[in-house]
Amino acid sequence: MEKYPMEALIMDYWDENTSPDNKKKIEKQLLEAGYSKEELLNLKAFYSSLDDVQIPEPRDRMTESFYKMLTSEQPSTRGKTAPTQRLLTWWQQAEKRLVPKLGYAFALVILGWALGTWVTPDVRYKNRISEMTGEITEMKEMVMLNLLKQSSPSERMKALNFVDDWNEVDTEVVRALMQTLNYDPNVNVRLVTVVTLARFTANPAVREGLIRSINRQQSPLVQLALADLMVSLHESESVPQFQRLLEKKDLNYEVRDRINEVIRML
Amino acid sequence: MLSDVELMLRVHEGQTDKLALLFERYNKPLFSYFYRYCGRQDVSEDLVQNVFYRILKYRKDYNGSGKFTTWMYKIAHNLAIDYYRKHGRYLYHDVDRLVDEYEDMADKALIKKEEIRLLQQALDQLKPHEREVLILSKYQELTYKEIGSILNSPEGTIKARVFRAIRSLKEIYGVLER
Repeated sequence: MEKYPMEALIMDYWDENTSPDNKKKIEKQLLEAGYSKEELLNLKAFYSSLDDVQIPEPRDRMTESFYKMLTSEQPSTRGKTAPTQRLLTWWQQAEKRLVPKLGYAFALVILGWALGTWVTPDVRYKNRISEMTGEITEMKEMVMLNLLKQSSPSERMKALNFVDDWNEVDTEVVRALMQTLNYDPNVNVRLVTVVTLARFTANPAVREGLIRSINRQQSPLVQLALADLMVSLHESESVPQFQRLLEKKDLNYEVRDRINEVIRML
Repeated sequence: MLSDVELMLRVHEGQTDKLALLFERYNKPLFSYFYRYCGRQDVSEDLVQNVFYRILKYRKDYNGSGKFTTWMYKIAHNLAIDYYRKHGRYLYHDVDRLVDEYEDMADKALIKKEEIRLLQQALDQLKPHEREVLILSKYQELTYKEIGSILNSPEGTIKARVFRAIRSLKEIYGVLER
């Protein structure tokens, strides 16, 4: 059996979970061993002061490198490193986490609406339900816009999942999504924003915003996602933006190759 | 929500995309571990990446017994040791930058700038094995039992090591303060 060192007892003495009775016993042993109460108190205070030493946050490049590694190591995608595949992988992960929760919420709203229509077929009630549906949509929009302003990337990701249930977006939502696409500090949030906006490209403001965003992106993953989107939209208006992007000396070489290819395709 | 063990077992079975969820949970704690260990942002980010690469590479070795974090920190510990052997000595933190960053985050009037600077310098001068037990217990908030599993030592020995590390750190701090 392990011999319990005297110093280990000090850690038990400091431990918040040690009972008062045990603490008294340990204190007695420590005083007998020559430790002074003052010395132990000073050391404990010093140990607590270590909390003051702060460190920086990891940069986005760490997350980008991880997802790049994960995509290239996945058996199903090995050899297929198309940018859309990478984007899709990320999206699938986010979707699996968030969609079920939103699905329940959406199902409840629909159930409420259907029950209301069935139980009260009167026109007045139908009008009221229509008003309520409008109010719910407004509330969801308000929640989404608020979530988008949160400091946590996962909260902002939830906001983007809200939009997934909508068939159309108004000017305010488009403006908020464009703001996120262009200025959000988290590359994953920006990536999912590309996917979200891709559903509304029938809206000319969205299309134009996406084209304008090409030159504002610093992350190779987002640049590639936008390049793939422009190809799928056959958007030749984006060519001048891609040409400007090619002028950047620090452009990632993989992105450079892909953009040259995209320009040829468009 | 799936537990760490459930997620890792799925990675083990070939659902490697589940590793992304483990990355989201643990990239920051691991970065903190490495950064406090070597003091370099770029190196710490690369080492975090290496941990997840090794998890993926050795996923078949994971059998679900024991906590996932213990296994993960064992990998991190081995990488930190390799890094130390390769570079021979620790690279020191950019203390001025750390202090500046901290000042940005809180009320300047409350910050004991000099104390934090000395504390970081003292941590840099601590012996590697002493620094590691302090990082694992104080900053990673692992239990002594978990640290014991990572470092292959009994719980009591780990507690004693943590105490000795605190005492050494206080001594170094005292010398720097003079």
